Amino acid sequence: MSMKLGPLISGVVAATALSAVVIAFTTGASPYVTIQQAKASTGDRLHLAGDIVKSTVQNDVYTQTLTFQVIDSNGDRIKVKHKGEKPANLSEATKVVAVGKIENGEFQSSELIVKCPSKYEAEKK
Amino acid sequence: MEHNHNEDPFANIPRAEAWSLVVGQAGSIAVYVALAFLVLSGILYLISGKVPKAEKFATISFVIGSISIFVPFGCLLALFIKDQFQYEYVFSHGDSLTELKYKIAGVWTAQEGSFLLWACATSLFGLLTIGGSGLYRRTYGTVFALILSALCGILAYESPFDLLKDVVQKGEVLMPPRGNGMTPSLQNYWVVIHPPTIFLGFGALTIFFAYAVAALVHKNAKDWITYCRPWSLATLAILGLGLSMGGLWAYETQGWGGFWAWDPVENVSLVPWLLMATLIHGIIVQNVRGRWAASNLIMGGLPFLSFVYGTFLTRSGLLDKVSVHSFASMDRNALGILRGFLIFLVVGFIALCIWRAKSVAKETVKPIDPENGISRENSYRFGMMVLSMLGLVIAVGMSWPVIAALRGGQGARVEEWLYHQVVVWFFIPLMLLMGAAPFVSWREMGAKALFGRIANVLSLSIGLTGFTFIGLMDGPFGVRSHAESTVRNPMGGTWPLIPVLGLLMFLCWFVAVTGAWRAIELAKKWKMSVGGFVSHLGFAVLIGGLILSRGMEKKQQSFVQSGSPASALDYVVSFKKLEGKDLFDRDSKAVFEFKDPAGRTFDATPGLYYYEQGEELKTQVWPFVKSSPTHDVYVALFPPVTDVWDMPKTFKPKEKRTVDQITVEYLEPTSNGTTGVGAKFGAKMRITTRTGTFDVEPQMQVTEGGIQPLLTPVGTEFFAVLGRMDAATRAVDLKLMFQKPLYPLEVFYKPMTSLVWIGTGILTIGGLMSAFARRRRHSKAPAPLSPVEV
Repeated sequence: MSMKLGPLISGVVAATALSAVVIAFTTGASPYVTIQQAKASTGDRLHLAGDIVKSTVQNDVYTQTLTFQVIDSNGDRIKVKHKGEKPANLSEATKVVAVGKIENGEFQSSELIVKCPSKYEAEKK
Repeated sequence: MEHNHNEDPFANIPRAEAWSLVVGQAGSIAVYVALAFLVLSGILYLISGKVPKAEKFATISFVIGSISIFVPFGCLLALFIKDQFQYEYVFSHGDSLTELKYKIAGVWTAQEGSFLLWACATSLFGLLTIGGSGLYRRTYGTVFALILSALCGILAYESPFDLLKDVVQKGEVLMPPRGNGMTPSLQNYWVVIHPPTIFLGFGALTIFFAYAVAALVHKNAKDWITYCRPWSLATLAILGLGLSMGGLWAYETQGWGGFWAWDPVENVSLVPWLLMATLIHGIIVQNVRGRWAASNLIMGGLPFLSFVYGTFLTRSGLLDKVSVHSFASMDRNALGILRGFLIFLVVGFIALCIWRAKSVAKETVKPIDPENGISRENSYRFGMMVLSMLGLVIAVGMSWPVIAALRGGQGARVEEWLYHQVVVWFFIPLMLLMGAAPFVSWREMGAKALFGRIANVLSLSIGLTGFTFIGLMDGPFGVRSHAESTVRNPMGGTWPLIPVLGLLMFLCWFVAVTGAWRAIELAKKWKMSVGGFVSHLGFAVLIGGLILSRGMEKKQQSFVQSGSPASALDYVVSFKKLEGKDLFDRDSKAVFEFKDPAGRTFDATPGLYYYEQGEELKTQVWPFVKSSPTHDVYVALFPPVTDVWDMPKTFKPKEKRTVDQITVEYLEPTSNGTTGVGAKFGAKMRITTRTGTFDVEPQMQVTEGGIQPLLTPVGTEFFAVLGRMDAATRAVDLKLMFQKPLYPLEVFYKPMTSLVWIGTGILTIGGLMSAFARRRRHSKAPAPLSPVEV
C-alpha cells in the first residue's frame, strides 16, 4: 500500500495545481474585446484590437497625449487616448492593440501594442 | 511620353550572372534530392529488420540526404554574400551596403531561412548520432529520416530561391542593384549569433524523440538512456544559452528595459528547455535506481513535440494578435505539412506510449525497490513534476488566446503579471527542492538527518539574503525607496514587495549555496557530477539577477530639449549633441549628459538614425545601457518629436481656432506680386502659445525645384511652415514644428543585471562540463548501471 503513496500524492498535487492554473488563467487572462464589448465591460486590462484611422492621429505635445480613432472588426469606431510617449514604430503601423479601459465613452490606453508588417518580414508583394 | 521600340528599356540595369542562376537552381534542386534520399533511407531502414543488408544502404542514403540539406543553406549564403538581389528572399532581407555579418545573418532573418536553419541543425545531429545509435539504428534512422523528410517537404514550398516577379525580361534575368536590407531593428550582433545557437538546440531535440520511439519499438527501455545522456546535457546547455541570448538581445535593443516578456515565441523555446531538464533528472534516477523507465520513455518525446507544437502555433497565424514577432503568413501547403506532421507525431507517439511504455519498461529494466519518505528518488519525483508542470502551464498559457477563443469571444491573453503569479507557485517548491535534494540520500532518511545536513547551507543562505538587502538598503534606488511598493498576489490583492523579494532572494541563495557547496565537495570524489551542480549555481545566479533587476527596477519618462534639461529618476538630463557622420549613419548617436545629485556626470549615447523605406523617412532608435557590477542605468530613446501636430491643420482666411492649446488666427493671405520662379505666397497669422503672442508671416516660394516652404520662427519655441495654399479659397495647411526637437526618454535603474550575464555563463559552462563528463567512452558495451551514492 505504502509503495504507491508517492505516485498517488504526486497525482493529486499535479491535478490540483493544474486546475488552479486553469482557473487563474480563466479569470485572469486579459480579454480581446470589440468596441461594443468594451463598452459593456469594467475590466482595466481590456485588449482592443483594430485598424488605426491614420488621419485622426493627434499628438498633443504639451500633455504628451496621443489620440486616434480605431475601427474594430465590426466596423465600429472609438476614440483612443494614450498618455506617455508614442510607440517607436507607430508611424509605420496600421494595426494596433490598445490595452486599457473605457472611460467617459473613450478608450483610455495604458499600453499600445503596435503591429508592424515589417517587423520580421517585409510585406509580400 | 517618348517611346522607342527598338531601345531596351532595361538597358541600364545589369543582368544576373549565369553562376547565380545555377546556384539558385542547385539550392532548390538540392531540397528535392535531400527529400528523395531521406525518404529512401527511411524505407530502407524500415525494411532492414527483414533484409539486414538494407541497413548499410539506408545509412549511406541517410548521410547523403542529410548532407544535401546543407546545400541550399550554402547556396543561399552565397547568394546573400554576393548580393544576388534577383532572388526575392535576398532582395527582401539583404543589401549590398551592409556588413558581411548581416549578409550572413540575412539567411535566417525570415520564415523560409529559419526553417532551413532548423532543418540544417536537425540533419547535423542526425549525422552526429546515427553512427552511435547501435541496436536502435533501424528505428532511430527511420524516425530521423521521416522528420528530416517532413522538414524538406516544408522547405520545398517555403523556398527562398524564388526569383523576384518581373525580373525575367525577354529571357534575361535582371539584377536589382540593391536590396531592401534587413529590418533595421534586427541589425545588431545578436541576430548573427542568437538564431544559430537556439536552432542548434531545437535541432538536437529530435535525438530524444527518435530514441524514445526506437526504445518503444525495439522493446528496450534500458540502453537508449546511456546513448542519449551526453546529448541531453549538451542540448540543455545549448538551449539555455540560446534562451539567455534571446533575453539579452531583447534587453539591449528593444527599449522596454527587460529580458523576458513571456511572448509566445520566447515561451516556445522555454517549454522544451523545462522538459529537457525534466528528462535529464529522470535519466539520473533510471541510471541509479533502474526506476521510472516508462515515464522516461514519455519524457523523451515531449521536448521535441512541444517544440513542433509551438512552432505550429506561432507560424500558423493563430497568435497574430498576441506576439510582437509577427511572421509573414506561411505558405498554405507548407503549413499543411507542418500541421499534418504535428498531428501524426503527437497521435502516433501517444498511442505508442499507451500501447507499450509500461510493458517495455517492465520487461527490460529491473528496478531497485523504492524508498519511502524522504529519499533522493522522491525529491526527484517532486522536482520533475514541478518542472514538467511548469512546462505544461507555460504551454497552456501561450495557447490561451486559442483556448479562450474556442470558448467564444475573441480570445484572451495571459500577460506578464499573470504568468508571474502562476509561475511563482512552481518556482518556490522547485527552488526548495534544488536547495535541499542534493543533500538527500538515495536511501530513506529522517527529517532530522536531512536538517542536520542542510543546516549549514540554510543558515548561510539566510545570512547572505540579509547581507544582500543591507547592501541594497540605501540610496535613492535602494530597498528603503521601495518600502511602499507592492506586487499583485494571486488571490487578487497585493503584497508588499520587499518581503516577497526577500523570500525569492533567499530561494536563489539557497540553490546557489547548495550548488557551490556540492560542486566543491564532489570535485574531490565524484567529478562527473560537478557540472550539474555548477549548472544549478548558474541557474540561481541568473534567476536572482532577473528577479532583482525587474523587482527593484525604477523607471521614469522624461522629455528633453536642447537647452532645457529635464529630470529623470534622480538625474538631471541635458541634451548635448548628435554624433555621427550624418543622420543616415547607422552609428549615429544622440548624446545626453546625466548628472546625479552628487554632481557626478556621465554621457548616455542611445543610437538614433534615419532610413528611407519607400517614400517614407523612418527612425531607428537603440537604447543605451550603462553597466556596472551593481546596477545598469538603461536609457531608452524614442523617435525625436519635431512636429507639434501629427497632421497639418487647415485654416481659412479670418479663421481663429485653438488646437492643442495653441491659438491660431489667420489674418490674411499675402503674395509678392511676381509670378513664376521667385514668387512668394504667405499668410499673415497671429499665433498664441504658452510663451506669448506672435505675429508671423510664414511663406512658400516657387523655385525651380517646385514650391518650397520657408521656416518662420514663432517666438523661440516653434517654426511655422505652410504646407499648401488653396488657390481659390486661400485656405492654408499650417504645420508647427519645434525649433529644437523634443527627445522622449525612458530611464530605468536596474540593480544587479550583471548577474544575468554571469549566471548565463555559469549555467552554460556547467551544462557543457556535465555533457563532457558523461560523454560515451569508446567501448563496445554500454556503460553498466552504477548505483553510486553521490
